[in-house]
Formats: sequence, structure tokens, C-alpha cells
Amino acid sequence: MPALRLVNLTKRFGKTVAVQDVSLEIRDGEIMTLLGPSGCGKTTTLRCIAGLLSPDEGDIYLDDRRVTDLPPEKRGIGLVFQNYALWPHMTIYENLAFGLRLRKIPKDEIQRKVSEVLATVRLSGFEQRYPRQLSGGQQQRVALARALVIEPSVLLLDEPLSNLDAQLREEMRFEIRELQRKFGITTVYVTHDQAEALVLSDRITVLHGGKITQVGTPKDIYNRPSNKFVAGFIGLTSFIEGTVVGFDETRGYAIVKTSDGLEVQARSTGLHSQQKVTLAVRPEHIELLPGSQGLSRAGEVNVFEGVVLRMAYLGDTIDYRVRVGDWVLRAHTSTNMVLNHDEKVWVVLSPDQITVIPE
Amino acid sequence: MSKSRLLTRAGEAVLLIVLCLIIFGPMTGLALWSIALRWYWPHALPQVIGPDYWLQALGLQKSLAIGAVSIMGAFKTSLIIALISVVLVMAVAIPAGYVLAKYSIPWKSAILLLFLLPQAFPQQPVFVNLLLLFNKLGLAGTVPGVILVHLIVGLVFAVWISSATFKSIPPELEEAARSVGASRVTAFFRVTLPLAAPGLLASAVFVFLTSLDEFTGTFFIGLPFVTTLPMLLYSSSGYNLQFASVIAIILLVPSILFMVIIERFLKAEYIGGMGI
Amino acid sequence: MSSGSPVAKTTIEHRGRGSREWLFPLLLLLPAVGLMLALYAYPFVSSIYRSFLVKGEGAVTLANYAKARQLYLRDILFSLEVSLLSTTIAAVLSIALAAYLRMATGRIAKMVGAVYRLPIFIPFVVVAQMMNTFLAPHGLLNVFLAQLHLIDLKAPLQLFNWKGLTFSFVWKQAAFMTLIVLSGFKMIDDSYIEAARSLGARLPRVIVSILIPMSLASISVAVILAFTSIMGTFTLPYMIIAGEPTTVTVDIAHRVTYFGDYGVANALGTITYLMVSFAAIYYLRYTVRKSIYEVQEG
Repeated sequence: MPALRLVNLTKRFGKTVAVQDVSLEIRDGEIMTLLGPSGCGKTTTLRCIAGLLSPDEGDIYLDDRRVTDLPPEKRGIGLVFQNYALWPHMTIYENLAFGLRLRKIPKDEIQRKVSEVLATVRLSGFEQRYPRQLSGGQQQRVALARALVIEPSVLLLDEPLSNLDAQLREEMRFEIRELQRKFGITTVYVTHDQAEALVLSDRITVLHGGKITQVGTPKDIYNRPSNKFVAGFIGLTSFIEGTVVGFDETRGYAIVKTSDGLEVQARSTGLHSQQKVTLAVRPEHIELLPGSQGLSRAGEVNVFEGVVLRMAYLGDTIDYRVRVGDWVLRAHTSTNMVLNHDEKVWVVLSPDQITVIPE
Repeated sequence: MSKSRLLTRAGEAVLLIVLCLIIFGPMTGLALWSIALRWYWPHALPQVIGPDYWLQALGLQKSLAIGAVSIMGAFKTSLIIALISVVLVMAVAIPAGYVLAKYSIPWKSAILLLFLLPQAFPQQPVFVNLLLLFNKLGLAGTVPGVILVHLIVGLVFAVWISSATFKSIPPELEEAARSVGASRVTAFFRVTLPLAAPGLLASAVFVFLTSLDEFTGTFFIGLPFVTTLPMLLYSSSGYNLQFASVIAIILLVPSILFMVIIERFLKAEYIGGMGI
Repeated sequence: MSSGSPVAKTTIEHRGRGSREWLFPLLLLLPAVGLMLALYAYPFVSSIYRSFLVKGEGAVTLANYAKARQLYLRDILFSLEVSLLSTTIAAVLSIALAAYLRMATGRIAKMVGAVYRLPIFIPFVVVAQMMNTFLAPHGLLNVFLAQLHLIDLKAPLQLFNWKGLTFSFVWKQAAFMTLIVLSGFKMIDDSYIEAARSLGARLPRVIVSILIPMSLASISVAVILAFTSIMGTFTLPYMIIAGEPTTVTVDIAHRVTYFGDYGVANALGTITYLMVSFAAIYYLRYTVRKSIYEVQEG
């Protein structure tokens, strides 16, 4: 039984459709990420689940109970915001006790619960501080604790890490993941950061223009994007367009010919001849060889001659833009592979690491 | 629509109706009185209505029967005082507002305090003692004396509003102009001032209205020789409700127009000092 | 000014460094500050000073205060009571209205938002005239209530006293206070309210536990400005109140215009200063700090 079910959810703001016919089942205890660029409808979906917006069409079920018309205070859902939203006039203890007091829980039990949850987020002893006395990361942990302490049926997180600096963000990803496992709580996580989504999700829903474009595990989404948008959004993907002209039956590859005459082989999955396709390649799957080394492999399958257009150091890797025929490909190489602007280069694409997206 | 939502809507509608009754009730009284030619107690509405008091007030009709005079003289006095006050106030307030917004200067807290005092303490005793001073200087009961009082009332608001306006303009804009060779003066006149124009205009209109509506200062400094519209309203309110109502409406209309047009330029706190 | 020198054309000075950088701004400030000193600060200080002087006597004395107490103690208390009552009622109404406007959406809320603010800009002298016609024994309010059979017109409500004065002050000040309180409420990000609601808080709880404590600064500014303004208003009680008791501001005018007695008038004036002093000092400290902080930020 799914813990949370969205059925044909639609939300309009005036004439713009923010969320269109979204149906989604979130399983008990899983962490589901809604991923997409700003304006894709992920936050609107989250706010409909929380009861902060009422959908124009469709229904929301919590544990098979229809909650579409319930106000937020009656849904029992935990919410964590991008700006933490800790009330500045209350101590940490008062922030955490707020929801418990509304539930008329006896005082000693409130105290017990608050110190328990503070211990799990490693902030014991911070009860009497005010939010402004805490660092961003600490504040975010308090915000999590505040949502968890009322033992909600579902936890909703709206871009909770985007106000933190890069290093803290990475630590917090694992921390959230661990807390979520510890509590075993069904979680919906909204983010525009694909790395975040890949690290901490059980499953990812990619949204675009208010519609679901793909639902799957992080691995599925990364390795088998079902369309060009997903492929482009997750990672820096290069695209090559062409037509299937034949098959290498023994190895199971399709041969794709581009308009400028390149022939690229890629693992085929149910393609037919003359089908128009887009090939997606991730930067770390493109191998670059300098002129001397590459020359010996010229003419092999999936080895192409190119020219370096631009390079940029990224610290641990180098980001290259290489022109091959009419196409510009992004490749990431190790830092000891130094090529100059305008230098000739050989590009090697492994057929197993190319994703074929049928038109 | 669910039941609870319907209830909420009904509650909101009741709120709106009660609010309208409270806000528009007194205004309606004013409007009715300004056209009432005969209204005997206990009738709910006037028995005879007509524009006679309006015509009389605007100088279009001269009848001795209804005991009202033309407002044109007082109107002219009010207008002259208000116009001169605006020009003087803005000439002084714009540089002051600019400095308070953009510079850190010595004695800043004391200067800010000076401009805040009139908001924080009742102004009436100040007018009383200005009267003493003006008596000695021969300014009491004169138009220049009244202008000086209006200057003080308007100046505080003008300084705060223009200071807030200048503060809202990013200093980088002026700095960018100076980095490409504009002098400080050129940068101010070509970059900052045009950007500040709407806020400064709002502040000028505000000062104009403050002067037009000013009562207490004029009461002490101007009476009995300088008769502005509020003074005329006051002196007729005792014996001629209709005529007083006509003047009240004439003062009311520009204030409400101003609010509708220009309110978004103003910080809420400055608005409280209208027509003290 | 430095604009004439060739160096100044290519460099941007740091503000506030060196002596010439603050001389120029001080010059720009001088006319405004001079006017304020001569026409505000001097009479302000003199009103306090003169409250200790009696005509013909050189020494400092408390005689004016003794006389003020003897003649006007009742009016002083009346002023304080009406000011406190009006401010309290207006504060409660404005907080409720601002909370409604902060939380509600839709057409009715928009209309309420447009209507409530009308009194803000209406000058006191017009308010006074309005209330003169509205609150009179034969006025529109009594006639309206009689039509609803709530009162008998033979015994109309007598409102040219503290009741009518309080009604008028609330009418005028609640709108202004709502505007300030609402601007405070609007600075509170939705997420603070939504967090409370998701934890189970209904609307009244959100108002009491989140909205009000998070905008205490705006609320206190609204309360203070309203209180000071009510305490210092001369026009409204002068035109509305018939007979005794009346407000100190009216007494001051009487003292000056009928008796030319500036000593007692100034003693009464100084008493009004004292009655608002706590509020005034809090407001001054708060605003000066905020202004200086804002400049350094910008």
C-alpha cells in the first residue's frame, strides 16, 4: 500500500498550468525526490501535498485516506523549508515543543521527546539557544527535528539544502538520508540539484513543465534517461542526432548515421531501421586521445577526429568542448591530459555507454 | 465549495459591510449636510436639498439668507501658503535627505534625533512658544509666520521621505557614473536625481497637502488675521454646519486622491502626521 | 568641492574619510538643521524652561505646575484615559484587521484592503467636522440606530464626550496602525506561518504565537505613534467635546488665547511630554538605531 498517492493532480495559477495531471505513488518508508528546473511544478506539487495549496483537480490520499480538502493543520505532515523557518522569537526548545503543545501532550513527555529528537540530530544541550545563535547547518537540523518530533506520517522537504555552502550541503545530504532511514519515514524531497537527488533518493520523479517525464531509481534516471530533457537535465550530456541505418547483430549494436556523415554505433534496444534517434553521451564516458596516440586507432568503430574548442580546469578534471563534424561534445578528462585550443584530438565513444533515445 | 469555505466567505462579507458602514457613515453625513437646505429632527434624510451652499462657497451665488460666505479668499491664502511652503521645504529637504541617506557624518544620531522629535512628542507646546517668539519678531498673525510654521511641519516628513528615497537607490549607480568620469555633482544630477524623482515628487505633494490641511500651528500663529481653509472650516462649524461640510469635502477630496495615487511611494510611518 | 580637480574625476573617494569629505555634507544639511533648531528645538526647550517661570518673578518655581494641578488635574487624567483607551481599542482592531489581510486572499479581502485605509489621509479638521455631523444627537448615527429600533430618538446617544472622542480617534488611527502592522506582518515569510500550520496550529494560534511576536517592532511603533498623536491632537477634542472634562490640548489653547498665561500652558505642555515620554524615548532609540544600521548596510 502506498503511503502517499497523488491522483491526476492539476493546479493552475490564472492561465498557467503549474501542475498537470500528475499521478504518483510514494511507497511506505521511501524517499522520493521531485526533481526539475525552477517552474517545473515540483514545489507546487509539494505544497498541494502539504495542504498549503488546494489542487484544481485530482486527489491526494495519505494512507488511503482522502485528504484533498483538509487544511494543513489537520494533515499531520512534517514540513522543512529552504529558509528553515525557525521562529526567531522562540528558543530551540520552544520551536520543537510548539507542535507537541498543540497536541496537548503532557509537559514531561514533551521534554523527553524534545531531548530525544535533539540527540538524534546531534544538538543536545542547545535547548535554550535562539535560532540566530546557530549555524546554517545546525538550524537546518533543528528544522528537521521540529518536523520529525510530531511523528508525521509523511515528511516533506522543500529545497532544504540550497541555503548552505557547498561542503556543508554534501555532508547534510548523507545526514538527511541517515535520519530518514532511522525514522523510516516516508519522505518527499524537492530539489533542482541533480547531484543531491542522485545521492539521497530511493526513487526520483523528474518533472518538466508541470508534467512527469520519468520516474525511476537514481541509476535508471542517470543511465537510461527516457527522453532528451531528462538526459540533458541530469549531468552535462552531449547529444548527437541521426537515423538508424543498420545493425551489428553479433554485438547487438545499432549503426546510426548523422546528417554530416558520421557513423556511430550504440547499444540497441528495440530499434528499427530508418528510425530517427538522439544519442546521449555523458562527459565522463567520452575518451579523448591526443593526435599521435589516436592516429593508430583511426578508422576503428566510434573513433572520430575532432578539434578542441575550449577547455576549463575544474580542479580534479578538465572540461573540454570538442567539435566533431557538426556536433559539439563535452568531455571530462583527468588533469594530466592537457590539450590546447585548436589542437587536433581523437574522440572515442564506447557503444555501451551511449544512451539511445528514440524520437 | 465546502461548507467551511462558505462560512468563511459569509464572515468576510459581514466584515466588509460593517467596515463600509463605519468608514463611509461619517463621510455620508458630511455629504448630506453639504446639500441639506432643510433637515429637521427627527427626519432620517433632509427634507429639502440643493446645491446652494456649494454655489455660495464657490462664489457663484451671493445670498444673504443662508449665512455662508465665499471660500475663495481663504482658498487663495491656503494655496499661496502651501505653494511657498513646498518650494522652501523641498529646497532644504532634498540636500538634507541625500546627506542622511548616503554619508556617514559626525553627530549623525543627534541630527536624526532632531528630525524625529516632532513625531515623538506633541507639537502643540512648540507652536505656543513659537507664538511668543513670533510676537517679538512681528511674525504672529502674518502669512510669513504661518509659512514658517508649515515649513517645520512639512520639513520633517520631506526629509525622511527623501532620505528613504535616496537610500533605495543603489550607490553603485552613482559610483559607476563617477568611474567613467562624471564629477560628484554631475553624477548626482544625471543619475541619482532622476531615479529619485518619483519619491521626491510624492514627498512634495505630501508637504503640499500637509500645509493645506494644517490646523494647530495656523490656529496659534495665524489667528485672527490669517484665514486658511481649515480655519474657515473651524470658525463656521459652530454656526453653519452646511457651509463647514462643504469646506470639509473640499479638503477631503485631494487627500483621498493623493492616497490612491501616491501611497506606494511612502513608508507607512510618515503618513501618520497628516493634518495635525 | 573636489569636482574641479583632475584627480577627483578619475577616482572615487571613500565616503566619510578625511575632513573635507564631511564638511561638504554638513553644509548641505545646514539649512534644514538650522531651521529645525530655530523653529523646533528652541521652542521645544523653551516650552519646558518657561513652565518653571512666572511672569514678573525671576526665580525658577513650580507655581505653574501647582496651578495646573489645581485647575486641570481632571482634564490631565481625562486625556490620559482617552488616549490609552483609544490606543488600546485601535491596536486590537488593527492587529485583527492586519492579520485578516495578511492571511486572506480573494476579492473580498482586496476590497477590505482598499476601504480600511481611507481615513489615513483625512486631516483631523475634516474628521472633526465629519464627526460633528455624524455623532450629533440628531446626527446620522443616531438616526440610523433609531431606524434599526436600537435606540429611541427621543433619548439619542450623547456622544460629544469621551465616547465620541474615542470613536473618532479610533476611526482615524486604527487605519494608520493597520497599515504599519500589516507592513510588519508582510515582512514575515510565508514559511514561518506554514511551518506552524503544518505542525497543527489553527489561525488564532498562528496570529498569537507567530504573527504578533514576530512583528513586535512594527506593532510597538504603531502603538507609540498613535498614542503620541492622540495625546497631542488639539483639533478633534477642540471641535467635538462640549463642556467638561476636556483634553489638556484644549486647556493649553484656552490658557493662551483667553488668559495669555504661557506659564501654565507650558506646564500643561510639559505634562503632555511626560505622559508620552516612555513611548517617545523607546521610539526615538529604536528609530535612530535602525536608521544608522540601514546606512551602514547600504
